[in-house]
Amino acid sequence: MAIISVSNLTYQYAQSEAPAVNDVTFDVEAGDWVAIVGHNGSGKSTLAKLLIGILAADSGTIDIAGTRLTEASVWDVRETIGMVFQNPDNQFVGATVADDVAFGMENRHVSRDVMIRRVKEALLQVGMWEFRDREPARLSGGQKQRVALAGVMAVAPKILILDEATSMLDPEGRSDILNTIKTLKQKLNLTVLSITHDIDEAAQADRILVIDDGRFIEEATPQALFEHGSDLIAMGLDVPFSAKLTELLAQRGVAVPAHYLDEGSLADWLWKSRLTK
Amino acid sequence: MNNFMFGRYIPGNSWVHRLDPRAKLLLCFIYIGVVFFANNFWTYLLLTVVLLGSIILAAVPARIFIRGLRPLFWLLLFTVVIQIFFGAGGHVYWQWGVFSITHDGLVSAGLILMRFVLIILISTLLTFTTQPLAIADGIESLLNPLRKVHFPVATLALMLSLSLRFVPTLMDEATKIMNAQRSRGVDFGSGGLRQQIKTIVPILIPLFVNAFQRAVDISIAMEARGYRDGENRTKYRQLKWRSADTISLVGFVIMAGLVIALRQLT
Repeated sequence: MAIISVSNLTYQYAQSEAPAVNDVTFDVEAGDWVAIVGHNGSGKSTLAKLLIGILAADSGTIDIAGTRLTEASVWDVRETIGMVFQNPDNQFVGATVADDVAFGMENRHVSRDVMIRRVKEALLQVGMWEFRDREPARLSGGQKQRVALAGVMAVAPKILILDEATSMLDPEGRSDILNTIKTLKQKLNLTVLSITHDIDEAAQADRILVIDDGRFIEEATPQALFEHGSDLIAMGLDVPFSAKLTELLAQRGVAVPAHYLDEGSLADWLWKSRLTK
Repeated sequence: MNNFMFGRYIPGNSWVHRLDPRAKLLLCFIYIGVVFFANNFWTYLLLTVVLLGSIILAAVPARIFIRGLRPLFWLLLFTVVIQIFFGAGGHVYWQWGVFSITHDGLVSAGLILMRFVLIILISTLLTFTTQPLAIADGIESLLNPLRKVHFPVATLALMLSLSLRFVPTLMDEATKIMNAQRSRGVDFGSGGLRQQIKTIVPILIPLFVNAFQRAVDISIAMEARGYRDGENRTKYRQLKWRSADTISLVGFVIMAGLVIALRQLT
């Protein structure tokens, strides 16, 4: 059974003319990694807010882990979802790293002994244990996002939603946090829903949903989608470096392979092609 | 901004640093209360000795305390001058219109100055040796009895600790905005008062707009993490009352008793 099941979901902001999310239907299976990509204003963040019940849908239904999302069940549903937001500063509630990780548990009435244990576990998982007494002002953006992730992990959700969680980080911080998420996903059998602009983040997914004007316009695997090349920009993704290079090589008459190559495999292909020449 | 020592925390691990914030708040309240009972040389001597003893136990260098007093220098001077000129009674040394320098005026100016300095120093000692967050925890804990009358103590404490947590963030942001304005040719800190106020406005407006956006974001993040209301939450951070706290509290109560006894001496 699908862990997230959304059907005919529609939401319109009070002041706007068109719905931000328009008749959207999709399922996510437990243990999957699904990326939702699209332009700014395509409705992807609205969708995330609908999923955790920050916004209430105009019509349509959301079922999370078998529970229908309603006003009465919203707190139960939030127990099963952890969410990491875009701005590292604006989700850091605690005064220190350890306090922030404990925040979600304090809300769930977890006893202090358990909290102390789980704060340590969660911080060790994301490699931030040495920073437990640091204040947020003395952390980098990437470190703050890792703390946010630890805060989510400490309450052991089934689903992790990343709402452009890497978009304010530098490339290093970005790949760092993506690797951490990959490891955690495997270890804890998480379902990941990542809302993103970033091609590297989208590339981690099993499946990519492209959203435009509040509607899903395409669903594909990363490989299939990245073969579109420059069309990706139109879909709201940054074209990966390897795709750009492949296209430029093709323009110069080099016989490049037609399927998508990531940077590593493109490099492999390049040095092998030199050998056979 | 960085020269501003008043209200700053000086990291350390002294005897005073290790005291429970609740104890330190109580000690501070007792001390300030007792300062108003002091009326003669012996009472002030006792209070000064206790203060100096506490400062020594806190192991914070004296020059930092003096630097902490500096921004308040003009306020002190102003109060003393007012007291000297307008205090009346006793022998008159000098008079000009409503202004006069009298014996009682000088004495009360001296006492006011002394009280002021003692109060400022003891509260500076509190902030130097206690992290703002610990002070917030201490206040929450001391306000706990108010829960009985449904006063939202925990919510207030969370508000306090959230505001403290965002002070450096907003300071950073203000610096960024100022640099952005500087790069466009704004000259801060020059020109007349009017001109200076004019240059502040383009800093405040973006700062306010961003602060509100942050507030919205943080409330969404808190809700997503399961925050429903402040009162029914478990607590990760806990304060520990140790024997040192009881000892210092008893010490200060004895000091208060002595001051009240010594009042009768004059």
